[in-house]
Amino acid sequence: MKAGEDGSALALSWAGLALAVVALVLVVDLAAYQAAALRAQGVADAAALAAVAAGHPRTTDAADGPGRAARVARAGGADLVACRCDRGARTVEVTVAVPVRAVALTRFAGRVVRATAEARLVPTPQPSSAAQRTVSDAG
Amino acid sequence: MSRPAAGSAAAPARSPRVEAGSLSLELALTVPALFLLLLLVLHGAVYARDALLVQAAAQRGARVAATTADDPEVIAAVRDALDGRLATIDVTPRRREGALVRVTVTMRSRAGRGTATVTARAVAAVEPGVAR
Repeated sequence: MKAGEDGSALALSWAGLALAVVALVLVVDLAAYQAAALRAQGVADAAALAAVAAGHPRTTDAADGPGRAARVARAGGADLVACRCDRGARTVEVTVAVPVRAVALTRFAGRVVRATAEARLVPTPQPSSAAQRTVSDAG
Repeated sequence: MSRPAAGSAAAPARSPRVEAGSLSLELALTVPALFLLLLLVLHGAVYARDALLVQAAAQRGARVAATTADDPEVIAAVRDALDGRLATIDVTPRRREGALVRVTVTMRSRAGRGTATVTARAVAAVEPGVAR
């Protein structure tokens, strides 16, 4: 090794170690954000479906749309941020926030991940009435 | 004026013979640490992939559980989402009417010789008309 290159291998290996540590933190943090985003979207979907079901005639639950959405969000480990759930509306929009357990990226990307979901109540024809209509049409 | 010779008391310097092998020793210490860290990165990536897979499977199971009182159908949906991997699937409560349904999926994540347990929970409101 020439005199000018003394210590270069050691410096390179230290740089490699530092890069590996940064890569490890990045992998852990990105995974935490990905998992939180997936969980938030799942909870938002479930909360929106629960809220829109409040307008269903066969729903026995006395809670209104926002109450049902908040209950589902809480059970899923999220906070209900917003619920456009007007009484009698057939379309609802729910936004939830899920906390992120990341190591370093929370300073730049925030401590929560938000997700929004929309659900629509679509009336479907009852099989029995459809069959009756067919019979009466035939008659 | 004469310059002091290398290695004299006036200008102490380590001879190349003394330093020989020190670089190898430092590399011998840092290179395994580097490989260990890279291995940790790899294991972390595998664990993260499995965690996302299990979370998605639990959500799919909860969605199915909200629409049916048939637990085997829920378990089949979760197994399908897990691509046939072995996992413990728990659906609670058994009775669906007027309640929330929770699906918990637990799976062993394996990367090399290391194993870790990945658990995910998902919840959904039971849809109207679904009862056992």
